[in-house]
Amino acid sequence: MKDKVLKILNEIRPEFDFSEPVDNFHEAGMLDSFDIVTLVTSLDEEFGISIEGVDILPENFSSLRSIIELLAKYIQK
Amino acid sequence: MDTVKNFLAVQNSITHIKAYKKKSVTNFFHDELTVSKWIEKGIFYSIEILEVLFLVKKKDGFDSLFFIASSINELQVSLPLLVNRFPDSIFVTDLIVKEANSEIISVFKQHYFNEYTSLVRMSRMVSNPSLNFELKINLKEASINQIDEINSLFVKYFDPMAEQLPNKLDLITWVESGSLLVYEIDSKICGFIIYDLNGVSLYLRYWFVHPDYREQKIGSFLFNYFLYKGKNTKRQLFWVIKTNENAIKRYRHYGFIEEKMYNFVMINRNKKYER
Repeated sequence: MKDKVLKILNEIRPEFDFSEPVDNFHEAGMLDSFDIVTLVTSLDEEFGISIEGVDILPENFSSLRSIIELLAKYIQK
Repeated sequence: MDTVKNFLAVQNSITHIKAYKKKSVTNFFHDELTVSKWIEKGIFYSIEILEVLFLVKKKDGFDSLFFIASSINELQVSLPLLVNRFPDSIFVTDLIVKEANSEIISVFKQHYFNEYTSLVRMSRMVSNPSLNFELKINLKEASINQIDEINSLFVKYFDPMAEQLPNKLDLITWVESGSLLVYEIDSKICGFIIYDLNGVSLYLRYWFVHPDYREQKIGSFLFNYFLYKGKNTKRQLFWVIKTNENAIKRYRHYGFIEEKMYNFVMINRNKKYER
C-alpha cells in the first residue's frame, strides 16, 4: 500500500521526495488544497473506495502515515 | 437554492455524490475555515440537481460557482438545468485543469459558458541562500492603518471575476505576518506585493504597481524582493494570465517554467477580461 501511495504522490508533485520523513506535507508546502483533491480522486480509483466528505480534511493527508491509516479504515469496511 | 447552514452539510453532500462511484469531478478545493466564513456571512448556497451538487458563493454582481459531480457526464446533464433555472444569475467558475483542452472546459462551453480569461501556473525549483538584495527605504511592511488604502487599490484596479480578491480580514492576516509589503513614495502606496510562505514553497499572491508609477522599475524591484524572500525555499510559484506573453517571457528569464496547471475562468455571459 505504501508504495502505491508514494507512486500517486510522486505523480501529483514529482518535484518532491515524499519518502523523506516530513511532519506535515501541507504545512511543508509540498501539497496544496488542489493537490489534496487530486490525491483523493487518485486514491479512490487506485483502491476502489470512496473517501467520504467528512474525511477530506488536510490532517488526513498530512503524512504518509496518516494517508495509510485513512486508507486502512476504508479497506477494512 | 438553500443557504448552507454548516460545513458538515457540505461534507455530507460530497459523500452522497461520491458514493455513486462514477469517477467524480469537482472544482471545489476550499478548506473548512474559508467556507465557514462564507457560511457565517450567509453568502454560501447549495442546490443538488440530479447527481451534481452546486455550491454558490454570492458576490457583488455575480455568483462564484462550484460543483461536485458524480461524473463528467452527469455534469453535462445538470449544468444546463442549473443555468436555465437561474437565468438572471451571472455564474463565474474557476476550472483548474492539467490540460488546456480538458473535457470539463468543453462541457461548460457547450452549456452557455465562455472563457472569461485563463491563467497558467509558473514555478521554479531553486534554492539560493546566498542571494543578496539591496533594500530601499521605500519598501516597508504594510501597517494596519494602510489596509483601507490597499483595499481601495484592489477594488479600483483588480477584476473580481478574473482574480480571487482578498477581503479586509485576509489583508490584516498578511499585514500581521509581515507578508504584505508596500512601496511608498511621499507616503503614497505606489505598489505592493503579497506572498504566502508555506514550508518549502513561496507563493506570490498579488503584485501590483499603480498605473501612475509604472515604467519606473518598481515592479521589478518588488518581484526581486519576492525572489529574495524565496531564497531559502525550494519552490517559488504564481499564476499568470496565459495570453500575457511578455510577462511569461520575463518570468522564463528568471528561470520560471509553465506548469501543466491551468485555471480557466468561465462565465455564462458574452464577456471577456480586459487588461
